[in-house]
Amino acid sequence: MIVVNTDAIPGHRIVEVKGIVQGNTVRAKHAGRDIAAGLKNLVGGELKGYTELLTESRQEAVNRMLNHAQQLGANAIVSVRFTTSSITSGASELYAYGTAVTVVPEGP
Amino acid sequence: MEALFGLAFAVLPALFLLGLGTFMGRSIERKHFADLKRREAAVSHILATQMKTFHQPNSQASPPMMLVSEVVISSDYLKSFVGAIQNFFGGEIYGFQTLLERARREALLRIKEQALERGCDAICCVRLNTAEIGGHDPAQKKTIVMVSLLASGTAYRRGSVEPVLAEAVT
Repeated sequence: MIVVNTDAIPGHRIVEVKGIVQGNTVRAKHAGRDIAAGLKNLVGGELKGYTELLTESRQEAVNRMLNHAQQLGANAIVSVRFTTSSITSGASELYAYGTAVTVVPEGP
Repeated sequence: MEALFGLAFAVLPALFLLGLGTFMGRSIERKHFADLKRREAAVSHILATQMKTFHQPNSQASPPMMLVSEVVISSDYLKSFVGAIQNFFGGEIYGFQTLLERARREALLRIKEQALERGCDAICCVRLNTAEIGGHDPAQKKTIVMVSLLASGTAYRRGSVEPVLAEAVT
C-alpha cells in the first residue's frame, strides 16, 4: 500500500477513487509517565514518555486507516492528514484520514 | 528566629528550583541547539518543501512514502516562572518562543533523518501540527508546560532532469 500526504503519486495514475478512509484512537497517559514528566518539567528537555505515547497512537490510527482502505480494495491512500483533539484531561484522540484510491503504474 | 526559619523553609525550595531551572534548563537548551545544528548539517542536502506537488520527481524510483514524526518538549522551571510573570503583564514571552523553535526544528529533522535512512533526497507536503495529548486540566493546579508536535511529509527521490522536459527543449 502506497501512503502519501500529497494529492498525486509520481509514476502512477489514479484510476479509481474509493472515498475517505479513517482511523482513530483515544489514548490516556498513565501516572508513571506523568510523574517522570513532572520531574522533567523542572529542568526542561524532551518528554520521551509522551513522545512514545504519540508514536504509539499514531501507529494505531494509521493501522486502522490502512485496514479500512484494504476493506475497500484500494492499493494507495493519498492526502493523508492528522488531527488531534483532547477528550478529557489526560486523554486525547489522534485521528488519521485520507482518500483511498486505486493506482496503476504509468507506462514509460 | 522561628519566623525566619519558616520563611527560609518556604523560600529555599523555590530558589532551589529556580536555580535548577536556570542552570540545567539553559544547559539542556544550549546542548539541544548545538545538537540540532550538527544533525541539520548532515541532512542539509535533503530538499524539504511544503508544496503539495513533487519537485522534479524521479518516476523510475520506488514510489514515495509518507513519513511521520512526533516530538514533545518540556519547558523548565525558570521558563515557566518567567512566563507566568510575563503572562500577567502581557507581551512577548521569549522563553516559550525558543521552546517552540526547538520542537519544530527537531520534528522536521526527524522526518529528514527518516528520509535519509530510506535513501530519499526530498520531502514535500511537510505539515507541522501541534498535537493535543491531554495536558490541560483546570481543576488540577499543576499543569505541565510543554509543546507537542506531529510532523508529516512525503519522501521521494528526485531525478536529475525530467526526460520529457529535456525532449521538449531540443
